[in-house]
Amino acid sequence: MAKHVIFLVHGMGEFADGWSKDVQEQIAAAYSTYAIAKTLPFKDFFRFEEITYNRHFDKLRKQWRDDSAAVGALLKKNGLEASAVNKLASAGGAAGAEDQFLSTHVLDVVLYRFVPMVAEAARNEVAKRILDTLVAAPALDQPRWSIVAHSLGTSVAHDALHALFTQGVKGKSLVGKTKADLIMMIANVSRLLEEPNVDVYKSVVRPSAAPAEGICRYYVNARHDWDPIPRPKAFKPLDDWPDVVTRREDRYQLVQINAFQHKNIHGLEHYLSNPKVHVALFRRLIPIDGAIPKEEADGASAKFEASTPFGQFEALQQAIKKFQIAEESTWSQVIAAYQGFFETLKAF
Amino acid sequence: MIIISRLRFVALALLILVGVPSSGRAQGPCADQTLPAVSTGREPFTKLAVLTLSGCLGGPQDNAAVNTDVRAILRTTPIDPAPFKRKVTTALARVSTHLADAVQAQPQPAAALEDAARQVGLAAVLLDSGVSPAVPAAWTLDAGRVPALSTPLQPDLDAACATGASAACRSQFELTKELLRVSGVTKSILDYYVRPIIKQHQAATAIRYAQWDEYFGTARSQYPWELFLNGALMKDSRPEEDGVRLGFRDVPKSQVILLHPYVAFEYAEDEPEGNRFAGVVLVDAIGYNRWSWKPDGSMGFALGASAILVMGDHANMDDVGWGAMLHVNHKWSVGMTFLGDTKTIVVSGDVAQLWTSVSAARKKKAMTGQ
Repeated sequence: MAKHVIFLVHGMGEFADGWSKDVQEQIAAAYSTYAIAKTLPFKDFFRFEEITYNRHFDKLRKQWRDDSAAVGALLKKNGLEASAVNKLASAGGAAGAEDQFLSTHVLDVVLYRFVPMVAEAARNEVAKRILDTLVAAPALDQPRWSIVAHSLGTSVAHDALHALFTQGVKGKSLVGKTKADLIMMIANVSRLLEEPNVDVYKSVVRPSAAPAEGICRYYVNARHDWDPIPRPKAFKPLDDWPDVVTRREDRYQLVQINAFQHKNIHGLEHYLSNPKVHVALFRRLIPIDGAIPKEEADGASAKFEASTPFGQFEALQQAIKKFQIAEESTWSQVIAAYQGFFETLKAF
Repeated sequence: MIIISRLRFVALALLILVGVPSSGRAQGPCADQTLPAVSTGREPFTKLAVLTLSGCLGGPQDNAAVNTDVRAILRTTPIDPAPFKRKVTTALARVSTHLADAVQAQPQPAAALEDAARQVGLAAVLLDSGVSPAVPAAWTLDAGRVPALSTPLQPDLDAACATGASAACRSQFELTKELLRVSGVTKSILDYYVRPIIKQHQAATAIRYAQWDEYFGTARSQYPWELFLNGALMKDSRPEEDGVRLGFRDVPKSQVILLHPYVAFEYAEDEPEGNRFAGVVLVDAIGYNRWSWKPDGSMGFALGASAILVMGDHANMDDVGWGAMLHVNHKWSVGMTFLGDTKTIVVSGDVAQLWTSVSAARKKKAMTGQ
């Protein structure tokens, strides 16, 4: 029987193939601590598919570095390094600089939001991976599948799924043909980065109690109170989103956490280490009601919270307070806050 | 009922034609399908859920006759030119037959089985409608329930087994097992039915994927400002419904070139012998490049032109000049420049290589001086 496929979608920054190895191990290890793992072992029933969508981001950065270096070298040889052309080439090279927060994290976000070609290419990476996986499975045994996306990846995953499920091919859409069990958005920026005409509250990326509607059974939105990344234009649907029945069945769940386990509270691993987050994940992956009983989940949370004393990161909390920007911040405020937050983390 | 009777006849005829593998004894994870010895609360349902997820109830490991029959029907090689839908309805009819037999075999009225039979029959009628119960998700286990069935599976079984392995618990366990099996088989049939649509989407996505690869890998490279400009100029080809854009954008067929510096080669007749062919920096001040797409997503013929600025270290000419350049298939570029009264020819690296057979080492030396 085909195992349940969990697609992992990374966040902002540079990610090479194999980026999710630690995340996969972390999820499997957390799962093994719950009683259900004895009857439903992770390795027997689940498998991961890692999605790396930033191929073109990295290629562009390298191209800018290489082109700029070649132009700069020749201008220097010809004694023309003071020219405006050299400044132009240098600007291109700076955008492609390695290990610079601005040219990786921030530029990725800006390119994704404002350059539709880059965004579409990334969306197609996600769509292709999902469809290739489904088609590779036997026709009579389509696997269950879910997505766990982080940070910029939440926007890429949202947009890819919306486009994929609303695309007509020979007059037919994929809605009702396949349905994700769970879409889990961690540090969700899908609303911040939404296109003007693809409102995330109106898109098809929504859970539904009705089998033929929506594109997933469950939608979990995880947010850390102190993580500034998902704060501006946060994903906070009203109580009737996507519809009253679906909401009554708890098919949309907000998981709000605030414990500090280590300094990078925006990190995917930091989120997943919190039982409130991974229990929400496991409960939606296992199609048994009460697969992880409340008492067991509460016990895991209590144990976790005991290991993360509130005062341990007090100085960090103070330092990142100023990056907790408002809901309706401007793009320049968002970029400044993001940059400040990551630089503070690096310095800490 | 008439439809189901006819389908049942077709199913039996098809089974006789193709032969049906006999049901064997279940192996491995499917071997034990009995009520667990200690059976309270969730244990019985958990066991059935594990069997379902292991493919033992309506999955590839299930040797039950209804499952093997359905798989045999769907795997038959088509003889009829339009057999696909017929195979699916025949398979659904086989499930209906199985449920009808199961209802008959019950000493008491079996509302849950009758409901399942109704839903399977409805699925056959509603194929192509895209509504429940004719979609695979309607037959997929979800939080202890199967949406297409009105019987709440886990709540009923948990309740029946709350006090241990009673007769009621045993009976409910068998009923739930049967309903999960039928759900699994029906889901497989519907998965099979929607498969061609998923494959069509995969093929369309593969073409777009190839086009984006070509856009970023084959078309002329773009600096950040060119990306933003081309992004702003890109038309949104997507249809709109209720203010929401649908689907993917078409991949562009053109690009604007703006202030794009790069290294090229210049041939200058007026320069001293040995210095006539040298590396220069070109800037495409403004230009336009256009191409077509082939059906497989690869690029067709591309043609572009740009106004250029040339900067080189010249002995007998101005160091800076203006000109124009023609781009064929992105990398084959030839242009003419005017440096004061002198004309030069500039070519892209690929053309230079082809035209003068410059060795890689000499080309590098010309470009970088190393």
